[in-house]
Amino acid sequence: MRRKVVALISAVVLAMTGCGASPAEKPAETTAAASEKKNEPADSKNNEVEKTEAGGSSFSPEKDFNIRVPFAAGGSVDTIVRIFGQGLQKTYGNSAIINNMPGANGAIAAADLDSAKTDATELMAGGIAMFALAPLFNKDVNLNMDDYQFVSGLIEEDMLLFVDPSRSKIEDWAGFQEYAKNNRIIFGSNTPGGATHLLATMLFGESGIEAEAVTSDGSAKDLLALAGGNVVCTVAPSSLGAQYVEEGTLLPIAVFSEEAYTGYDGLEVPTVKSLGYDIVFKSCNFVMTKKDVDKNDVEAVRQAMIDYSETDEFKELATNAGYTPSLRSGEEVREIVQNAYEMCQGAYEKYYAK
Amino acid sequence: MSQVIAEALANLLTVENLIFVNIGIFVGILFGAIPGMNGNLAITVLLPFTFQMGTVPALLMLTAIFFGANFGGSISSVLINTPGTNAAAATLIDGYPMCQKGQPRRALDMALVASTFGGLFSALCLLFFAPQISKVAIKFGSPEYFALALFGLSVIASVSGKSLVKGLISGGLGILLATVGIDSVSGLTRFTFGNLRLYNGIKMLAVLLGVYAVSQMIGRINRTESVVASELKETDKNDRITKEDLKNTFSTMLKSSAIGAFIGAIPGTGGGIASFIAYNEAKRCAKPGEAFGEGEIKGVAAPESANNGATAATLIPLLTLGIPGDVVAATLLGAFTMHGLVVGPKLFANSGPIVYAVLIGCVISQIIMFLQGKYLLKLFVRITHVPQDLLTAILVVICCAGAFAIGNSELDVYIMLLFGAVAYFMQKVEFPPVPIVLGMVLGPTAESNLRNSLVMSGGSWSIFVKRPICLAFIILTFVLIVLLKKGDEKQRKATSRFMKNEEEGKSE
Repeated sequence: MRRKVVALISAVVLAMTGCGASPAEKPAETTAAASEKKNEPADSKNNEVEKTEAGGSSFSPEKDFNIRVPFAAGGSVDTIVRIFGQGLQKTYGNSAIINNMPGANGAIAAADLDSAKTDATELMAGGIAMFALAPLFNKDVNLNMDDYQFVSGLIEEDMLLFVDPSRSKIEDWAGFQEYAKNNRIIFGSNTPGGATHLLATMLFGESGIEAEAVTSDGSAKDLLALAGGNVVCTVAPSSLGAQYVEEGTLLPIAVFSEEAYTGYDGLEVPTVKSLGYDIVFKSCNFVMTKKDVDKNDVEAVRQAMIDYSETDEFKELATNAGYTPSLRSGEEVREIVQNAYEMCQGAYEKYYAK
Repeated sequence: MSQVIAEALANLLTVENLIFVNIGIFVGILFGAIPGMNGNLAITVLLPFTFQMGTVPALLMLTAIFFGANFGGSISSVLINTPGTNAAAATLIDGYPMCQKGQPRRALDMALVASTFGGLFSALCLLFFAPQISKVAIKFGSPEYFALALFGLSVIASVSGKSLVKGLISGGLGILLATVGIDSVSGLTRFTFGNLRLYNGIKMLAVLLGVYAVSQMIGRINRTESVVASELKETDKNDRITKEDLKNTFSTMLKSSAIGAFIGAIPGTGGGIASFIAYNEAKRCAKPGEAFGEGEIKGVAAPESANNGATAATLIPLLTLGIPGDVVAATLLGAFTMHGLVVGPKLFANSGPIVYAVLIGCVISQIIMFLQGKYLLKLFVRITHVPQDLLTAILVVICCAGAFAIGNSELDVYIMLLFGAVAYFMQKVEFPPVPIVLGMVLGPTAESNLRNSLVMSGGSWSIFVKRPICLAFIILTFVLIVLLKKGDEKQRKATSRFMKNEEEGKSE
């Protein structure tokens, strides 16, 4: 009996030891593996052949790229990161490992990045919400953009307000306001703390329309709820609404961007700003790393991404995925996140804090 | 249309595709059969390799993994009482007792036949009726989801064993556990105790491993090899599925496949709910002499037909509406996007030949799954010959690694161990573990949709009787509970009569 207890505990401890290697230890393993590779002339020669000097920089990664994605596998950010991961792999000859670490609005992935080696191979994909919204809504999330360095922009999307004209007869914002006078407004959105909930709350708050949210875990479900007649309107990214608009089921009546949206055939969607409400927001995803990573290395990684985005291989993959690259510089990304943070903070204090 | 099908067949019928479907099924079965591993992990790992492949072979391989993993989940359910996936949790209720009775191969054969049957049924539904079914699925709003979840939770009555009260307590515990994390309606955190890792809630798979695998291993500590071995009867010489079995289970498989296909087609649901509802229905229709929960072959046929019936059907909302039914389907969504298929209402019009090639490929995948399963089961069934001491130690390591792999987090391993201990003591006082799983699967759906429904109706409960689908589910729930209770009493009497007659027959 005692032997069995000891054996069982030993098995657990062994397994836990295997599982419990802290992220900080991993780079050491890979570095060791890399130095082993150096002792193998044939392998290192092959690596040399595959390596190119991105953007003329001398950045030469000593280990594999580790890219954290704070979303589940299969989403648009995950898909795009995998494409760029492949590009980095081809450019530098080192593997790019994509780690999906969803949860806590990116704080789990960020904590993992914090504990990693300070190196340009330790990267993370992120979104505006992780800095602009998460810390406001969750006291345990202490993410500060000043603790990170933005490598490059990745995806930008216009956010639009959709309605179903066949059910509500709403065809524009004026019609929406008229409808709201006699009907309850139920909108589809993600949970409070998410961008679509915030944008809808701000728009209805500014326009004096009383509205309540039916929440879901994704904009695709919100659009379905709208098409099924379960909500009156929903805020969603332009790409997700495209097919509904194309087949004439749903209609966008406002866009939260700086400029009118013309991405759908024959439609020019007015900005919320032009309707009289000072709300400007565009969803933005980016790649970031630790604050103290060498700026030249960071720039080299971005350049490698830009170079890869110009290859035929990338263009084919991007076309398949319906992706338009938005590889802004780190500084531009920082400015976007900063502006979004200020807007979200104001909205939080006005509509949520009470 | 015929031209589209002809193009699809030209895309599909190549040796390359056949090879990749075979690889997909094999990888899927392996990942599904190992506790803690699953189809999602396999698809995520193999996704980058498909970048360089053609669209059709890539998608065929990935969907084949999905189907294979769903069947693979039943292997560990039957052989080691640990579901490889939550969709296979209902399979162990009768699958493991069959294994204990010395019929592991018969149980696995049944699981394979039922999985293939359900998978084929579902794939044909997907092939012929996807756009039509999606039009029904679109009618599902929060009230309908709540009613469906309520219907699913009523299954607790069927899987509670001897005491309904204990079953309800277990179910309540499952629902309570599912509240950990960010509340999906208010956005507030609940029971996270400042731990960021708990923001996404307690992982279902970690609890499954704890409740089924770890609790069993703890239970083995104070038993000798011979005691454990004696609990597993010697394998029957005739441990094979018979024609009689197939004949007896045909109607169960048909009904369960239809349940699976229907539930799978509803956006945001999946095989886990379908398998329990199908099990419940099979139990309700039990004939005298059929002892569900004690190794009844229909208890394997029903959940396996249903969870595989849900697989291809899960692709219906995925392809036509862009909404994945479960985590694996969500990963497949990325794969479809990656390969240029823009899922949504216009998919069939825009990419007909490729989509139909994949859909017809789904039917072929089921047949390949059957053929591979037939040969692989011979190997898997040897697990029962491994000395229990060794098997237990290996399983501890596999379970710890599997729990860690869920989210690259040690916390999931601790949760697994904690629930192993909790489940061990629950079993000591005869609390059934299955309702915990049901509560965890359906609790969040029921809660968030109840609250969203009340937002829609301005606080009025009448919304649940004003909507036809919703009302139908609620009536069905009550009718089934009443029938189940009546049927239980009737079946108990009939079974005791049957056993009495059998004994009398023997003594004569």
